[in-house]
Amino acid sequence: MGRSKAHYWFVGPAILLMLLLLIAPVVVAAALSMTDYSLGNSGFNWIGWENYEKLFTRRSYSKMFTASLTYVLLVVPISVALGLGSALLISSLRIGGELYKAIFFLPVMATLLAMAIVWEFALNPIVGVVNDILRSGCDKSVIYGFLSGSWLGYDPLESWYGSACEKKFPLWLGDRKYALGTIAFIGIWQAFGFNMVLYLAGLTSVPRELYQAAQMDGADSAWERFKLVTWPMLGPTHVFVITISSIRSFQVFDTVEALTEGGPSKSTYVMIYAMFEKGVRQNLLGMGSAITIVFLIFVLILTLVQVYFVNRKVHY
Amino acid sequence: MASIALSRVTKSYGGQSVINGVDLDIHDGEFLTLVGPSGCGKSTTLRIIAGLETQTAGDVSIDGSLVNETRPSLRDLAMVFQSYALYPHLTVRQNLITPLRLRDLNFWERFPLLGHLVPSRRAKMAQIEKEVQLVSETLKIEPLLARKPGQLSGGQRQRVALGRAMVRNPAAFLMDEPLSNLDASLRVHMRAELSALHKKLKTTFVYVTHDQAEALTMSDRIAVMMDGDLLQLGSPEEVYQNPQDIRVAEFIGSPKMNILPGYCDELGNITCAGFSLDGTLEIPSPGPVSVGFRPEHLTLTEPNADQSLAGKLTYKENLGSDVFFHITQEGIEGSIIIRAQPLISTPQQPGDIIHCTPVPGKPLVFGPDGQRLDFKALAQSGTSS
Amino acid sequence: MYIQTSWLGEFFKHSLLLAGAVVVLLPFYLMLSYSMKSPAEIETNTGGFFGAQQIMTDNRCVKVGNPEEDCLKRPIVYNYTAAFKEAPLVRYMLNGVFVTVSIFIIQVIIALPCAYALSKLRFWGRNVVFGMVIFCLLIPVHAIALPLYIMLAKVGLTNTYAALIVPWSISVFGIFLMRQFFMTVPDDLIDAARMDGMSEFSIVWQVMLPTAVPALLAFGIFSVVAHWNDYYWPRVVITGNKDLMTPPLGLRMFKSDMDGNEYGPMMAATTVIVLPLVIIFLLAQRRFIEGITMTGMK
Repeated sequence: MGRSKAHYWFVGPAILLMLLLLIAPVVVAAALSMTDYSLGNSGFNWIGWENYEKLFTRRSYSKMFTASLTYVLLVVPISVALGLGSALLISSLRIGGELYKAIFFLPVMATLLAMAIVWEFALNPIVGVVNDILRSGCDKSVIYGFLSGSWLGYDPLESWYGSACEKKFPLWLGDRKYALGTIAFIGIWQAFGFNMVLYLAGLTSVPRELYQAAQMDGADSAWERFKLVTWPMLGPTHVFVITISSIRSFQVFDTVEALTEGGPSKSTYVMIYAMFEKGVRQNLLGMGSAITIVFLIFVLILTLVQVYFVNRKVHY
Repeated sequence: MASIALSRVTKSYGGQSVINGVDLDIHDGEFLTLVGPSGCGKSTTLRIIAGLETQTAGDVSIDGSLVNETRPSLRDLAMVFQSYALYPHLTVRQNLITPLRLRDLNFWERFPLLGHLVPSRRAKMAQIEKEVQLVSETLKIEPLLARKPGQLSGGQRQRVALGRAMVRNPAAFLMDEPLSNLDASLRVHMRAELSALHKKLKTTFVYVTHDQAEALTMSDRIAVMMDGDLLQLGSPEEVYQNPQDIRVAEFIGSPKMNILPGYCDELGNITCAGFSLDGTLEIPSPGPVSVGFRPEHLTLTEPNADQSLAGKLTYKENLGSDVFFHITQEGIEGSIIIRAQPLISTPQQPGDIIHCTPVPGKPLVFGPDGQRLDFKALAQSGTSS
Repeated sequence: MYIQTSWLGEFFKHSLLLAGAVVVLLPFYLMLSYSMKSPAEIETNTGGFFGAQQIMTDNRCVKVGNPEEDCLKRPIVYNYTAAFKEAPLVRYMLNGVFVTVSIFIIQVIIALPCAYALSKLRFWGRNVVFGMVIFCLLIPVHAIALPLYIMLAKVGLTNTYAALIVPWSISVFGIFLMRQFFMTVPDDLIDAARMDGMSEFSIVWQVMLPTAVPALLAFGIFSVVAHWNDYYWPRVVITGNKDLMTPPLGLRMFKSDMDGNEYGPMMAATTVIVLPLVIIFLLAQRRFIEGITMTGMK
């Protein structure tokens, strides 16, 4: 066709940039992961699989995998459940739904790094409000009794709250038992509003007539209708939300870098942070590249799982 | 089987009234159609019967017992929805099983996984399977049982939706425009099937549609609704031949009834479009009136015939079996439509002036408020209605 | 619907959501409140939301040798002036605006014609190019930061605006989104434009661009929010040069520069950086939520 050579100009720049900025880096990373390359050095040595060997044998890296996986396994289920729960609650409200929606979405919009710093202040063991609030409950017998479980007949001193009142409340980010959980809490705080909005969109696409049909069929309780209609109809949304949340939480960096720098004792040493520390800070680009490749494989697996589920549900 | 009665049912949404006091007795075993233009309140009425919506005031009773507070599932009604509302994630078989499972199995027997361990479940499921089998044989959907709704054609989905309603053997079927998502030829075919099904099941059918042709072809009785009011309730013939309200007259019948402005004198004689009708009003109501002629109640005549209506032919609509003449007359808004046999209609061409006279006894006269007035044709006019 | 939500149920739902809202809003509340309080009030957690606003002495000001009476300030004034004095906040914000806007414009210039070609032009290799786009969608840009960083370092571009902008110039996601959108635009519209004698180039910018405004808006919100808030990439490529820092990176530097007790100014700076997006969000809530959901992938 004479009319157009136009497409060369249209797709050319995009192809060039894709090759240069997305595909080439993957190749470069794959290649460098087999070397001991550092910026500033004139040359490098091919060292084969050595970096990968270290990655899968050294203790600090096994801590890295543990931290990343634990983080994902904490953030994904909880933020997805909270997202679904709040979406269900909000969509069934008579008034005020829009307000809650806006509030819960606020953390998604706000600069995470900045909010992480605020959380750090709030969680400060000495002057932070979180421990202040917790401490203030210790001498109010109702709250103390409730939180320490003595109303259930437990010995209050045995409980977490009771013993914390007795001794002291956790250091949160400074304590290796709590640090990752605290980082995950901030992650959940930030992410669940996003999941909520996706679920709300999913809920509005469920036809109302299906609920009415379920009522005619005898699904009388809200739970029965949820089981028969809502949950299965949200199938595609579930797949989408879970994959997105997983990929996003694998990429956690801002909170770790600003609040714990991977510590204490590597308890929050997540993958992207490790990549940054090895590659940029310590200039061990070979090692950093090896982490990059392993990370890419993780994301690829997650995406393939998603594709599998999406295809399986094609008859919707 | 059941009779359903609505008495003084009203419904309003935030002050906006959509149903203004409807009284309706639906007989046991009849096919009753609620028909009217969209937004007339017919679907809402059906939903109130189903219990999916609660009326603002008034009573609904089924078989004589009040069901105002009864939940939908306990009213023993089944509904076929416009979109069919099949569960897309379940196979056809599971779709048919669902209403029975929810009705017959108790909480523990329905419990996911653990339910299979409850001993009484097995016998009940076998019974349910049998009923599903029976219904799918009746509707000839057995080959579809293992498929999901997404893999079915519109007509097949329609059948499955019917099946889901049938398995429970309900006291009455409620249908909300069930044919409107089908293509034209299938729709005509399904009309006949639904009628046959009704004869076979001998159950009460309450059918909602905006299509007057569907209402006329299938129903035992038609209830015409408009603007939240029930205007007329009667057999298809009665509603067609003898509409009590000008809105009913205009809504039922295609092409629409011609409505011309007329005038009534003190004696009850009526003049309209330049000629006088051969008849009088029983109770004269001097002043302006509206006169309605159905297209088939106007016949073409020679130009010199007295008492004829003359107008310019603007458009000849040839449907093969019939030809409709659209004619205009100065001083009358819109066009008048006349049905003619194709054989007589050939010579006329658009632009010609043509003449017609009403079939004696057929014109309908409506008062200024839209109510039908009692108009008697003169005795000497040969044909009686 | 038949479900007659009882007032009790409604009350229960509201109390659950309200509890959630309190936790969600807690850091925003603290941020605003701390940015107005004196150090003493922050440490003892007194003063309510606004603080007592009692005149306090600015120690830093005294240290420089000013007489004490010139260094008396209300806490709110002290916090915010300190924030702007200690850190080039204005510069950070301008950098942020410049970088996000440049990224978005370049992304559109690259993605729109490509999406148009992929959806409306027939040419040899079209499916290959689209396959490439899909493949690239799988690559999370954060993951390949390291090789990109090396490449930029090799050509000497680290610590430049280019380093902040160039790696984001291609948005495969943008291409994908626009292509899906253009698929819904009828071919007749384009054929009509061709009959009118428009070149392919002017079709892209004069016909497709205007029709794509809703999708572009969604993509724009997504792109701007993502890059305004991005901390990782600036952290990698900008080392120490404050003139190039974007708001989150600047805030991070501010945090390490400040000694531990300067919560007030710190929170004032945080407020200044977080507030613009939050305010725009609250003004155009629906659009934002739609935009972010629509572009939810990635």
